[in-house]
This record gives sequence, structure tokens and C-alpha cells, in this order.
Amino acid sequence: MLRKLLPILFIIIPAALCAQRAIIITGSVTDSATGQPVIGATVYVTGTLQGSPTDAEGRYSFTGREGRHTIGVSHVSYQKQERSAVFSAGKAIDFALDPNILIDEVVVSSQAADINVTRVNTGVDRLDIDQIRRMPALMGEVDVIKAIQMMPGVQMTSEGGSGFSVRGGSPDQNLILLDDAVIYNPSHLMGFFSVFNNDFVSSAEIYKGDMPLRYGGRLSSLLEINTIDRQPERFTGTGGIGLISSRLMLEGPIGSNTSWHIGGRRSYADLFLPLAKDPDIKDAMIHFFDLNAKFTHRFSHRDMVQLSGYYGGDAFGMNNMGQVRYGNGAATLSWRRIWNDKLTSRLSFNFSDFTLRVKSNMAGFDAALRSNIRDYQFRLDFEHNIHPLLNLLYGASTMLHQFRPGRLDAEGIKIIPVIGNNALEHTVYIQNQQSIGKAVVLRYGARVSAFQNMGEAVVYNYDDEYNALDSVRYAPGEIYNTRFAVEPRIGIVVRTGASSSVKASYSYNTQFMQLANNSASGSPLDIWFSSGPNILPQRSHLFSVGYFRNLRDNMFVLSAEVYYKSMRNTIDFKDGADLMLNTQLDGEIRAGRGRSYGIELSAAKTGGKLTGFINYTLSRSDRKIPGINDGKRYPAPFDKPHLLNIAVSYKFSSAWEVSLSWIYASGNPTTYPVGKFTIDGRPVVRYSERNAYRMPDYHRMDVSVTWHPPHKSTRRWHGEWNVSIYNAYNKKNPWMIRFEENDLGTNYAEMTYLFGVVPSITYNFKF
Amino acid sequence: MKYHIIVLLCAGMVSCTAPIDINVRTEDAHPVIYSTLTDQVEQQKVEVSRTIPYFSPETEAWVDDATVTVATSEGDTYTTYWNDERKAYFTTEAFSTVPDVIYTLTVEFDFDGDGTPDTYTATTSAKTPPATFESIAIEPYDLPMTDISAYMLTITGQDPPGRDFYIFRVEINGEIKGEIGNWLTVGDRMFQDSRIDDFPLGIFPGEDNEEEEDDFWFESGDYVRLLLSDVEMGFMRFVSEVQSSGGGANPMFGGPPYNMRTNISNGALGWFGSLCSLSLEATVPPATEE
Repeated sequence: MLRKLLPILFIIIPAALCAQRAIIITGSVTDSATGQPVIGATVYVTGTLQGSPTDAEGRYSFTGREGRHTIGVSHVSYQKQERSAVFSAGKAIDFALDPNILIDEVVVSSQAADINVTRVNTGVDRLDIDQIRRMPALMGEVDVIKAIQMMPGVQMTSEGGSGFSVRGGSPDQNLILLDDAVIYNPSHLMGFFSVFNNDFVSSAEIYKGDMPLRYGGRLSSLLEINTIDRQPERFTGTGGIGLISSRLMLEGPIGSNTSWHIGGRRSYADLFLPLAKDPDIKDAMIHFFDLNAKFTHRFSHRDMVQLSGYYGGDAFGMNNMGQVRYGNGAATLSWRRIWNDKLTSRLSFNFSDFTLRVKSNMAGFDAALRSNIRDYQFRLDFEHNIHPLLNLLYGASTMLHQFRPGRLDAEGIKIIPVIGNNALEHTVYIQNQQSIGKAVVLRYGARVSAFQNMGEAVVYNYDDEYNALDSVRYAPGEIYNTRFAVEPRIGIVVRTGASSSVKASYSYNTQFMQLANNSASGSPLDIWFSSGPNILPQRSHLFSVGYFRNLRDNMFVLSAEVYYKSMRNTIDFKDGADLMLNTQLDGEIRAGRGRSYGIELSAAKTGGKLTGFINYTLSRSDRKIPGINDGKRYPAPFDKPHLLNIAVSYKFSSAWEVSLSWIYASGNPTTYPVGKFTIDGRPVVRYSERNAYRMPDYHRMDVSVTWHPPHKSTRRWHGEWNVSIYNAYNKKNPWMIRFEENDLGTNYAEMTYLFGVVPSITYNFKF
Repeated sequence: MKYHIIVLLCAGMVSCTAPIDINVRTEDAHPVIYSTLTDQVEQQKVEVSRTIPYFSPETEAWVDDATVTVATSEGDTYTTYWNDERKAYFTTEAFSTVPDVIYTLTVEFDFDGDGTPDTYTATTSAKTPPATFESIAIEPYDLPMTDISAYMLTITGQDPPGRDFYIFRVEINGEIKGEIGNWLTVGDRMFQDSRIDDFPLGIFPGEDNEEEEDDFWFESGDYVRLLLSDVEMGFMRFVSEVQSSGGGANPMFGGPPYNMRTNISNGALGWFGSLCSLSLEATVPPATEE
């Protein structure tokens, strides 16, 4: 594919070189009151696609044209500024922003209001924490992933769950990053809540396939969760007390160059269990917790070091039965250096871990199961504006994956571990973004990956029926299989008016690891495994075209996108796959082709007392995999033709705000029983073809009211009450449909629904 | 399984059930044939039926006009007769399985109504049961969150080399609880080639479950024999699939429901299997005093 693209680049680049003279525009943005750098502000040139966000030093740089232009800067916490300036080589343009004091205007984005029009990537949705907090939440627990599930092309995999499918893909095709560290299982409490503490999150951005070249390794999406990244002026705190959990985040400065943020959250249903009369319930255990921390130190205006970490987990169990504990750990240590106006680098080390532990003490028989996946990654990234036509992003990374699918320790039994394996994943990438005239911006580049399976490992050889014939054991550190991937990605945006553009992109993605979990809910029984001699890497081609238009000074944001994605080596599990503690897991996997296509329509109102969005997706997704469904094409597990998400908020005054959301989705594809018979007196079911039927459509309305009590300006304590109602009109949406037999031997269907009307109240505060 | 129970308890805190109407298309019927030959000297049983629509008020559709024979690799052939009371074919002669002898089942009847008999065949061979398992034990067991009495059955011995798949049947006071729904199935993944001491095989209801739906229960003083058979993986999984059939998809545990495997030819559903067993004995102790 790269070979086919090269001639196009050769045509485009010389054409661009013939365009008028371009220069690099640089400068900084600071707080007018404190002089502190403003991070994440967007600097832009009105009427063009030129612009750049400010970095951790409040600095920006982008390619512009010589001459007089109107340049502006926007940030959620500051008043927007625009002014006329002459662009000339070597001349810095600095801004000092005044804090935003508007209280009756709702600002929902910390990026430029027209970022959706100017950004080259297609299929990108961004939510700021203010926007997320405004949405009604299950049991009052504001949740980043639940908010992301409202975006076009994104859908929840099951009621109330944290799993999500993007453009018909499976949940393991989503790369979820918390400050660059992978989160392998984002679920708490069987998926009803995500692991992201909203006090610690600043924004969430999802790329639905057309990812920046810096990232890869998944077919469907990149979800970037960014934690707070501000320099507090004094010791402050935020938190909340809810029905399910409470949370607290503290932050403060240490001198003028160092800042710290520490946060935590814990559920407390288990604290009430000792009040139960039943001794089994009294001694039961069920809770989850999160801990976040972030430290930033600026050695100089050029050098900044950051350490951020996350640790969280769930635990539940009962006496006489056992305990289940699972959780994620993630850490990032980075050093960012600004070498000069043109070159910035970032060196980072990332660590990720997901571990599941199951303990049983049934009948005095003690057994413990442990499985985990762990990553260690070094990466070096550069942002290099060499020439107006060479605005490069390039870098390299290397990662060690450790897969430990399962180890059982049991009393009286010799330990039989399911030997995992290790893998090295090396990547280099380069991307260039250049303007061609005033109306066109082109982004192109490639990512080259090498994935190496490494011992200690046992690899089985299979016959055509997937029966193991023999096996080969590889020594620790021995490389026994290497796969390469070249992933070209290209995107173009053409400005069609002052506030409109047309975009197109092509993206090639490769995925070297996948999840052995058939569950659609937030089951923690996650076993990640790598591609290898028996499992080829999954690959996809994604084509997207979209039209983007903003109206009334970006108050109304409209978009329409169509996409087509084809997948090779996409996996599914054979009928009755046995995934736990299976030494021959790859014998349970079947691989074939898949495709997804659809159109996503979005309309949002971003300013005024009434804000919100309407997102509609029309799409299909299917699979054709030998060995499954007799080799015939079948709907993908999350093929939902219609998705409609509406979220609106109305601010009556500075004290009162009402929010409402409504979700409609086609039912999940499912397999129903179509026949019956008996075997030795036991009723047995004959099922339809895979996913030949569809569960009833899903719809739900949530409502919330937020009251900000008036407070004296001299008091530091700010509080707000939030009352929310989940599933306000009590729709009984089937989570599971079971089939039973009545006394006459006739079968009937019965659904299990998880939630009726769920009211909740939360008190949020900051000081 | 323990994990599943815990999770279901958690889900049960918030979930509810309600009836729902499901419309499914009528699909073509399939022939169904099932037989497991045992090492008890008896008239061996073969079931022949056809599938019926899932929501039909009918419960069974037996085929009573088939020609059913069982032949052995030793040259013996056993004919059968239809027993209308027990809704199955039985061999006219009693016999028991012998390890490593190949048995061939042949069933002929006009399934599709075209006037020509359709033929369905399958073969099976029983493995020699491993003599390396030594004993079983039965102990009272407290089921959490219930007042139901129960017993845990454990086994001690040495797992033979290689992958093994076991079917366990229970005999109480001389009566084998032989229906497929009562069998225990265990693969040796957790203890392959290892010695196991008091490994839990299953929980059985106690005598206060007499009025419940359980097919059998343990009472203090019962003489219990565990019949252990080493079988092919396909047979063990077929038994598991029959036992877990129905219910529909569960989004929490596992993937889409699927049709059980078959080793019968010509598109028929079902299984033809055989068992040779090792017998281990124990006596049920008194239940735990409250």
C-alpha cells in the first residue's frame, strides 16, 4: 500500500513547494494575572486551517504565511483573544489571557471552537470534563467512558457496562491510554463504573480508527484519557460524596516549579454489610478503589519532568466460597525538552499491568488462580518544524509484553501453570503535516512495527481440525516468531468556506494482541494473548470521508462522516470455546474477514444557556470466518444498525442546571433457540445460525438537576448538589434473555433487566 | 463456577426478570440419535427422535419405526426392539462394553418421508479405566447463604500421563443414577499427570432436599460408589453441552449459545458413546450438626 501512495506524495510535495513563502510562527500564552503558562490553549489564524495548541510551557508554533493576519487564542478558562498581527520570520507573538468570568455562558471545549473543521484526522470526538460532568450518570457516578459511549459510532456493549465498541469492532480493538499508559480493563464493579476518577481527568478524546501515527496496535480506536495538567497556585481540593462511592483530589504547588496532584476514590457498600444478620453476607466483601497521583517539575523553561501513576482494583467474595480481586496499575515517567523553537522531544517510560486473582476455599480446599498482562515501554517522540513544508512528528518505541494467562496453585495438586509468553514490540513512525495554499492541509506518514514472540513459551502444532499434534518449548529470551507491519496513514482537509471543510483519510492498522473473553459485560476474566505462529496479526483498512460545518461563530457544530473498514485475520471463538486455563488457547481461535461501514451524523450546540448534541449512526458490521456459522457471513456481535444519542443541558441561572440524555440503539444481534429435543430425558436446544436474530431495541432516558448554592466570595468552599435519575421512564431493557420450560413442558422466554428507575444524589465540592 | 455464583449474587442485587415475547422462524427438523453403552451387563438403550419447534407445545417426537443395530469389531451384532413405555430401542441381548472393542451403531428409517430409508451410523470405543485413582471421600458441606444441607465428594489418586477427560457416575445403595443429566464431567487440565489428594469433584444435595427437584440426594449411611470412566474429549464435552443446553446467551459468561457437537453421520444430531468404569466406594457420614 505504501508503494502505491508514494507516487501521490511525489506529485503533491513539489506542488506545495511552489506555493507562496511560508514561515514558522512561534510565541507563548500566559495568564495575565499570574504570569503562569496557559497549557492547552489553541492558537489559530482566522479563516485558515493554521494553528496549534500550546504545550506544557504555554508555547506554540505552526506554519503560517508572511504578512498581516488575524490571530486568536482560546481556552476554556480564559477569555478569547483575537488581534491583527504581522507574521514575519523570527518574530514571536505572545498572548496574556484574562481569566474567564462569564457565569451564564457555558463553554464546553478547551480547544478551538472550530477544531472539528480544521483538524486533519477524521472520526475524532473530544469531551472535556465539564461536558462529561454535565451528563446524568448511573448512581451519580460521573463516568468518562459512559460519556464516550454517547459519541457517534461508539456504543456500549451491554447495559451499564464500561465496554464499548467502535464502528462495529470488538472491545479489545480499542487502545485505552491514561497519560500514555495502557489500561487493559477499564471496568469497576462488573463494568458498571469505569476506572477513571473524573476529578483527575481533564479530557477524553477518541480516534475512531484514524489514529495519530504515534499510536497503533489496535484496529478500531484510540481513547486518550488525559489527566489534569495544570499548575495550581495554592493548595486546593475537589471531591464528591455519592451513594456508591466518594472521592477526593488534592493538589498544590511546591515552590514555583513543582506541582502535585493526588486523588482517590472508594466505594463503600461493603461497610454496611456487617449490619446484615446473615453471617455469610456479614462477612462478604465487595468494593472498588482508585488512586491517582501526578507530579510535575520544571527544571527550566526548557525541561519538564512528569511522573503520573494509577492503581486501582476491585474485590468481592464470600466466606466458604472464595474471593475475586482484579485491578490495573499504570505509570508514566516522562521528560519533555524544548531544544529550540523548532524542536521538542519527549522521552518516556510507561508501565501497565492488569492482574486477576481468584481464590477459592470451598470445603477447605484452597486454590488460587492468577493471570496477568504486564507492559514495559520506552518511547522517544519528536516534534520538529524543520521547514514550513516539513512539520514532522517522528519517534520510536520499544515495548516488552508479558502474557501470563493463568497459574493455578492448589492444595494437594502439583501446580500446572498455563505457560504464557513474552513479546517485544518495536515501532518507528514519521508523520508530516503541511499546508498547500490556504485551504488545504495534508497529513501523511507511516508507522513500521516489528512484533517478536519471545520465550519462555510452549507452541503447539495443530492439524486441520485444530487437534494438537505436538509442541515446541522455547527457552526464556528466545525469539521464535517475528512479524512486521507497515502502516501508512494519510489524511487531507480542504477548507470549503470560513467555517466548513471536507476531510478524507485512509488508515491502515495492525493489531498483535487480543482478548480471550467472550463476555459482553465488564467481566474481569480477561486473558490477553498475542499473535504468534498460529495466530496472524489482525489488520484493517479504514477509509473515511466527512463534511464539517460550523454555524453562528461555532455555536452550532455539524458533521457528517461515512466510513468503510475491512478487516483481515479478525478473530472469533469457536463454538463452546474453552478459554480459561487452556494451554492450547490458540486452538480455540478462528480467524477470518470482517467489514464495517456506516454514516455518522452529529449536531452540537456549544454555547448559550442550552447546550448539547444529537448524534446518529447508521452502520453495519459483519464477519465471515471459516469454522464459525458453517463459514457463512454473520452479523458481528455489536452490529447495531441504528444508534441515536441525545444530550442536552439547560442552565436556568447560575444556581440551577438541568441535563437530560436519551439513548436509542438497535438490539444486539443474538442467537435464539429454534428447536428442541431430548437426550436421555434431558431437554436440549437447537439454536439458530449465529446472531440470526436481534434483541429488542434499547432506549433509555436519564435526567439530572444540579444546584449550586450561593456562596460568599470570601469562602473557599464551593459545593453543589446533583440529583440524577437513571432510566427515568423505567424502560425494562433486556440485558439477558433466558429460556425456560413451564410445568407443561412448553418453553417460554424471560428477560433479565438490570435497572429500573435508579435515583441518586451526589454532593460535589471544591476548596 | 464459584466465581460465577459470586457475580450472579452481585448482579442479583439490582436485576429483575420479566416475561418477553420472542418470535422465531420455523426451521427444518433434524434426526436425533443417542446411546451410551456401559460396562453393566444389561440391554443397552438407543434413543431415536427428531427435533421439534422450540415453542411447540409438544415435548418429544420419538421415532418408533427405525431399524437399529449395534455391531462390534469382534463380529457380534445386536439387534434391538422398540419399547413404547420407555420410548427407546433396547438390544434384544444384554451385554457390556469391553475396552478397546469398536462398536458401530446403525439406524435406518425414512426421515424425510421420500419412501427411502435414510441411514445414520456412528462408532465408539471405550478406554480402559485408570486404576491409579485410589479413593473417594464424602464430607458434609455448608452451602453459603442457604440452610440446605449438602455433601462434598472428593477424590484421591494419580492422574495417568497425557490429557484425560473423565465422566463420573454415581451409584447409591446399588442403584446407578445413570441419566446423563446426573453425570459429572472433569478434564484433567488442572492436575494433568499429577497426584491429587481430596480434589473436590462436586457438591451433592443432602436429605432435606428430598422434596426438591434434584434427581437424587445423599443421606447419612448411604453406600456410594463412584464409577469413573476415561473418555474421549468429544464425548465429555458432548455431555457438558447437553447438561448446559438451553438458557440462551449470558452476556457475562461466555459467548453466543451454540449447537452441541455430534458424532452421528448424515446430518443427525446426538452421540454414540461407551463407558468402562473404575469403581470407588464411600459411605455418607452424618450431616453437620447446627
